[in-house]
Amino acid sequence: MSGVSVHTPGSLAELLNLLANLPNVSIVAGGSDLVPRMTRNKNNTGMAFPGFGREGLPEKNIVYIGSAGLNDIRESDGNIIIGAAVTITELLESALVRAKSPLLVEALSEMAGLTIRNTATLGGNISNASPAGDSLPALYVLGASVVTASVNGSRNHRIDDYISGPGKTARNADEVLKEIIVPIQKQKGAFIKMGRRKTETLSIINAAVLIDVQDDVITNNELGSVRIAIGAAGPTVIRCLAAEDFLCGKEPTEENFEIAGTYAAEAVSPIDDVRSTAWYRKRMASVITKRALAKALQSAE
Amino acid sequence: MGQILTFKLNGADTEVLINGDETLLDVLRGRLSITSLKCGCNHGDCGACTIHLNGRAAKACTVLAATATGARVNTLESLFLGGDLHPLQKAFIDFNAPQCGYCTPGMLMAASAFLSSAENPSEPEIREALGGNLCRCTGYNQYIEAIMAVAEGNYGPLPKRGA
Repeated sequence: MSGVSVHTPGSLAELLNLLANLPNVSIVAGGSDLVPRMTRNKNNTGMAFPGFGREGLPEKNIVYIGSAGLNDIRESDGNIIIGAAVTITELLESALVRAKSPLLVEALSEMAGLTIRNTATLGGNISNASPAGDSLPALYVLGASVVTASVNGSRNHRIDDYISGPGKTARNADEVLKEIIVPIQKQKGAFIKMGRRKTETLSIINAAVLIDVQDDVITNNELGSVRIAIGAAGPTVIRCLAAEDFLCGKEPTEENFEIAGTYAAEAVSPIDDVRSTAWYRKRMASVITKRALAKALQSAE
Repeated sequence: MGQILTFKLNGADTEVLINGDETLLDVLRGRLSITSLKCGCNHGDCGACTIHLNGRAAKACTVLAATATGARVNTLESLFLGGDLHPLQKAFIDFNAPQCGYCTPGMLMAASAFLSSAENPSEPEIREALGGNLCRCTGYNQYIEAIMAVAEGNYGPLPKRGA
């Protein structure tokens, strides 16, 4: 007999009430991260998951958000607003997202494989707060934010404030991540992921860049503001501010991208794990930064 | 803690008593005796338990059963409900695609969901769509060739998504 109860609230109000009143809650959307970890813990295999002991599943409430009406993608005030239960496939099929956030589309296309993307959600990828989450570097450079809600109201968080460490976010126990706010993309962007295979693989390292090319790069051959974020190479996604500062106002040459890559490698703090080594990741931070910058400018032409 | 799951399984209204921690794979195989879907890795990597959830391919081991309340769930059995083999099944036989056969139900479910929504897919697109289905006999090329043959219309028209 398991002590797990699954709740399927039919509205946001009902969802928030459950969160206000139930103890020991885990929130689930598609389930592709949470459910395999529950199974591993139940069968006493693999990694432990906070809240689920290795000795089996304790009394636990799981609240499903897919039935609570958080399924909208809409445009508002220069932003794309994405409900927490919207799947990756729905985002990739959205004409709005395809037209106004090509960098997000590029990153989401590299996530997992088609079958997982059909159930997995962007809200879940953020909430899971894995350092290797493939949507995160793009969200960092795009300046995305998230809205959490509880019966006491809503809070806005910049994405880099929201995620504070591996699996750690600023969400309180009585809150749900309700929606993601992604500013419409005006700059040119690129995302690069290095994995062991093409699909269904966790990133060894990944990077997103965003280059403001609205005028400078065309008229003066100078880069405008540049944003670079690298994932799977530190406890959270890391913005490479020194590389960004270096590039601003520089010519977009291979030499300058090379130097920016060196700065990026200094910014990251990777670890050794089953997927790769710190040594390799540090070197690849420089390589993918260089490649992503070149790729973004190619898309600018 | 027992709860009732109500959903549409292969077109039929279905009610089943489940536990909160059970996956759709646990319920379909263990409680409803649908053994076409296989348990390979049980954590979303191998694709042997691929089903259609509301018309799209999904991995049953990553879906908490209770969250499928009201959903349309189709398993391999739905592909030949009319009595005739699905074009993909015919092609798999012709191309000798299955070797040990363990991954075959998942391959069929992933490929049928993909083909019912894709217009004239290219070979790389098919490989991408099947990227989440592992074949440890490594017979990937036969599967891809068979699916290409079906996509090119050599096995007649396909049922569309939602059918």
